[in-house]
Amino acid sequence: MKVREKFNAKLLVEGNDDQHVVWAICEKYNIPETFDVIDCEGISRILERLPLDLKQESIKAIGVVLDADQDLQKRWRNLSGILSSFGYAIPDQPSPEGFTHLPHDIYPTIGIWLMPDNLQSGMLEDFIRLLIRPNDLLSPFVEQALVQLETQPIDSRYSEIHRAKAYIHTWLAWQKDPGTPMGLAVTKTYLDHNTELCQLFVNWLNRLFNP
Amino acid sequence: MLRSLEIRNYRNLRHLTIEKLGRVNLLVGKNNTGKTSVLEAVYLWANRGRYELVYNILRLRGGLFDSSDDRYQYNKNSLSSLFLDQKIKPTDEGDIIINDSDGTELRMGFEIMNVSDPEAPELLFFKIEHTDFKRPVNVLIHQPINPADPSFPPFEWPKNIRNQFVNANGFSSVENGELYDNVVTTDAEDYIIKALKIVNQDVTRIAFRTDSLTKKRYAVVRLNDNYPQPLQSMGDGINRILTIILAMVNCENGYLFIDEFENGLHYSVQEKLWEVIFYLAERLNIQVFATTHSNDAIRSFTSVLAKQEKPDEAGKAIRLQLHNGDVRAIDYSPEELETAVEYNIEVR
Repeated sequence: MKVREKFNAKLLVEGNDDQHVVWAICEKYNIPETFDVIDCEGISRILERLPLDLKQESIKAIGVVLDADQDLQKRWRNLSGILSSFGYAIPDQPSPEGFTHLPHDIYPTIGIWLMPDNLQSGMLEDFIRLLIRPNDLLSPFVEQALVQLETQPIDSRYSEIHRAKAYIHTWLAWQKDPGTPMGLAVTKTYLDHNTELCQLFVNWLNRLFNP
Repeated sequence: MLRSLEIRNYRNLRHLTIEKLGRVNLLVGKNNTGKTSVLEAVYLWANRGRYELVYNILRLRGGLFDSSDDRYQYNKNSLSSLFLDQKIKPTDEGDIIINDSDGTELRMGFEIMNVSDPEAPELLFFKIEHTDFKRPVNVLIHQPINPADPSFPPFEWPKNIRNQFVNANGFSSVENGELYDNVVTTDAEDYIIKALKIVNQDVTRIAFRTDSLTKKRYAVVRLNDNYPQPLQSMGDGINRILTIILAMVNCENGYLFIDEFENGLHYSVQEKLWEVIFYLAERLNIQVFATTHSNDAIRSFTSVLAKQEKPDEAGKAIRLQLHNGDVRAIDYSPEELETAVEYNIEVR
């Protein structure tokens, strides 16, 4: 979703779902509204525009939320390549608390969060899945359905990398209000925003945008 | 062609480096970041520090102080306005230095010279040095510094340098008339007509006439088969274009400077004017430095740059910005400019 940009701090996210999930979490934690959440419509577009955002004179802080996808290390190298060329000192590994770097030379504060948790490969849906309460009654049925399906030779079935997507959308489809989008599922507390992972994410946002 | 640039102590530029320049360079940035100062510095460098131009810059930018009866003080204040913090440092550290990566350097500063008689006061000189000069040029501050003054000593400068500076505002019909005379009956006429057609398709001929009363020269154009009409009656845009193109056809193998490119130009004509500028810059071997505040100028520059055969060499956009009191340059490659336009990311 396109937003009218108001702030000199930007959070770049891959898609509409990421954007709404961030907004919903910010609302739950009363995070002060000090940054724009920009739906960049895909990872390649984030990597393309990041150098230009770094060069914008008015911007004071930039956060990037990216799916680690199959290869967390590779994704980290993509980003550290860009940032190193601007002179930022980037460690070899992402940290579980999310990476932040103070302003460097004339360039802004920068932060990186790799979905789901800066440790594993995966994507937004894996992060969301980790917000499901441990005692949830629907998830065992979802798991069971997926396992069963995966024993069948069905060509049109999701590939392994998208398992979390299939899982979370199935789970959402079986809620009282079926098909609730992920952001709204946070708002409606189908999901638990008090999990440790979500708190780490919130702390990262605050370190970056509300120091 | 200037490939890279380093400026020290010129006006607000303590130490500015621009790593990579192209054939056509667009300088952007907020007010007071020193865009015009960069143009001036490169202009002086390109003219080997020709003193008449130093004086002209002071005159045009209000740098001549007229408050004091004391000629020495007045001259000193005037010339020091070109230096960082308006300071006179009679040592090398305060010198204005402008150089390129090949080591061609222009240096301007002050020097105190003592006369052997201990009773005599020490003398202050404004000195201009250049790697091409055998010895520096020294202008005595105690004497008139206006090069038009009859007592001003005749300094020699290379004659074959052709550079043009188009100021931000207005145009001079006198200068334009002279520039036109220089190129009349050459290919330049076609370039001029082609450029004027950007604003008015019907322009077929151009000439300069002399007003019988005031003796002032003014441009007239013929529109299709109608009577010639004064160009001045046709609006700012077409006059700005004439000024820019006349300057350009007069600086083959040299440098062209355009302060505030967009002035008087509707955005729809800016792209076409850039096309002419890129074409002539290549054709006549001219390096162009322009400044702008306008997003339209950046967008039109970007789209014309993208169409060039070798965009990386054809052009560069450079933003000047203040950082901890110093001016810094951020440059944009042609691809970055395109991405910025596509994503609507601010470059200015």
